Amino acid sequence: MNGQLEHSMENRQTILDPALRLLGLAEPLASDKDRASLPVALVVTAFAGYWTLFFVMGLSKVSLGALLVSVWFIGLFYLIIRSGKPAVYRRVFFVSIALFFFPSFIANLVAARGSMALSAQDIFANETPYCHIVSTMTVLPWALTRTVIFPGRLTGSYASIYSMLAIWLVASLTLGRGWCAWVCFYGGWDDLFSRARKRALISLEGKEASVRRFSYAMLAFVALASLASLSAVYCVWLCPFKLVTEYPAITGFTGYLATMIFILAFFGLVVVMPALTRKRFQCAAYCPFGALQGLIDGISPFRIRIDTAACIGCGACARVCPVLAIDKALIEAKKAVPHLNCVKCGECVAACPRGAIRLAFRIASAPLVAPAAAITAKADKAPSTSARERRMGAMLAEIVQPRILFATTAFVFGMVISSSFAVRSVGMVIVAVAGLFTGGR
Amino acid sequence: MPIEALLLGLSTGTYCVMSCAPYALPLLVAEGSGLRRNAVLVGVFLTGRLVGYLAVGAVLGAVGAYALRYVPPRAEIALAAIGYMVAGAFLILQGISYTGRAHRLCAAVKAGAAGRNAGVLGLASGFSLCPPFVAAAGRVFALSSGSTAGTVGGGLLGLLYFACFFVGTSVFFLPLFGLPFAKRGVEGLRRVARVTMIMLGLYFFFALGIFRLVA
Repeated sequence: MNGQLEHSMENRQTILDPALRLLGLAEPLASDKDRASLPVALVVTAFAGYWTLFFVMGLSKVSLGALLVSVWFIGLFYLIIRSGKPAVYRRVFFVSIALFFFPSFIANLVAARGSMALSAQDIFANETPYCHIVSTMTVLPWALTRTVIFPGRLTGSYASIYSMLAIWLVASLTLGRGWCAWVCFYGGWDDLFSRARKRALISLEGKEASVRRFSYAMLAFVALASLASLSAVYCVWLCPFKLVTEYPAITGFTGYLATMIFILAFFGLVVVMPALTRKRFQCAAYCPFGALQGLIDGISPFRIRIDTAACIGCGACARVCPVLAIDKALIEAKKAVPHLNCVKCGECVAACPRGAIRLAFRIASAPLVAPAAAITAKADKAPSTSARERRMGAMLAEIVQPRILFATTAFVFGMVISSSFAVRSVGMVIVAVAGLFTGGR
Repeated sequence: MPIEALLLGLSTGTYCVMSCAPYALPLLVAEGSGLRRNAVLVGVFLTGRLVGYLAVGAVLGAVGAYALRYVPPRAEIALAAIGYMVAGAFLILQGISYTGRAHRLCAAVKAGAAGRNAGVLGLASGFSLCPPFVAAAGRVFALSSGSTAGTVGGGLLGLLYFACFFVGTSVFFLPLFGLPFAKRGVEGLRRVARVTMIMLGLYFFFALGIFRLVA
């Protein structure tokens, strides 16, 4: 059994590796167990590429920016599937979503309102864009009284309440808390800064349970305080991402105070703490949406599974887990699944020296052996199947592996949420660069 | 009139739960898990809330139209803010007292404590300006602004109205009695609730209390 789980690792280079190493986003080793065969990689990339092109080019005009964005994301998806380093390229994908999001979002606000600041007039006109984190505050009041406590549009725009809730619901049904490692356009900041240093200056070892509990306390607080005050408390007082999105106009003492909190929260929780701990600290300890996704993760068909028989207890998975979902206590207790807050980023899968961790179907009872190999072996024994049928069978079996299905679904959701922002951001850069050459004419 | 108050409570009770349950929930979750203990705490909380309602009803009913002349326009906001500050302070102290590192003041709050604090929280919630509360207060004000204004009869009318209103809204608090069933087997929930209690206390005390009072 253990022999079957051993896997080869090699220093397979891709064209992006030098740049990734510079940004601290790369690991040197690629693993065959995480590498799709070429036909499967091409098929699923074609599928994901179709949806990328649909959301990039179908919803906006065909342009150089749209073309570059399509090539970038489709290329990244191919590397996630085929390079043998899915964790590394997932990280690049996730960080790019965050970096593409904020210039476009801010530019939109400035174009529409002339400022990043949200005036009382905008609030009364229900023109506040709705983001997924607000769900933690709006769902309970809506369920109890059909009251929407957020001053946003119900329908009629991309960032309207119903459209975001629909995307969130479907994404949660499929990805669960995987949203936090593949789709969220904020989490990339944490991910980026958590790679800023090679070694952690502050170790969170032994404090994992407290950090996890704090995130659930944040969720409970935000939900209850929003119920009590009928306002989106996190947005009004606590959101660390106001600095890179929008903020209420400062009109008095409470406005100043809230703005100070926004600034401190961004630099403290999103920049400094991830850099010092090498963990996605804001996502692990503070974000109420992450906690909510963890609680409802059971509705997702995918989860990380640990083969406790193969596990040698080296702790590599706990060291690399960015959200403290695996810790020493869990390994020692020989538990087969990480804690609820696992974001399915695949870092532990890549780090495990015995290949004892992998993404699996929640209801799967089969042993942790690659199903493609098992099915091919079975097909080989059947004399009536032709070579072509066997190849097709093996390919289909590989496509329906959890890691391929999950990566494809998660990537497409990432595109649904962020592709239009990416196109606008790249478009702005192209216009700026063109302006340099033409002198602004 | 009692039927009207009861129906008002029944028809708007979900809003009451929305604004009043957050006062009690963290305390109930953080405290022991026995059904009886929980029932006592919920009972004390609801009694505190009833006292708050009766006080408001009696005063509004007795003062009636004179309120317009003698009560400052922001008095109700100030009253609600003070209610939030009291609730916030008790939530913070109760939350800190669980850490085991409470100093003398917190220990004093804890001594005998969760039951009494549930009563204080209930009383404070009785002053929160949720939409049904405002509707009931407005109705009492209107009813007692005629011949009964400024009389004991007006006060009794207000008392009766708010008592019936309380009964109507309290139906929606019944699920709180089943909380121990929801808590059973969920690890770490009490610790989470204790942290939540401190956060909520800070929010009540500062954001809904002091800042509204001085704004």
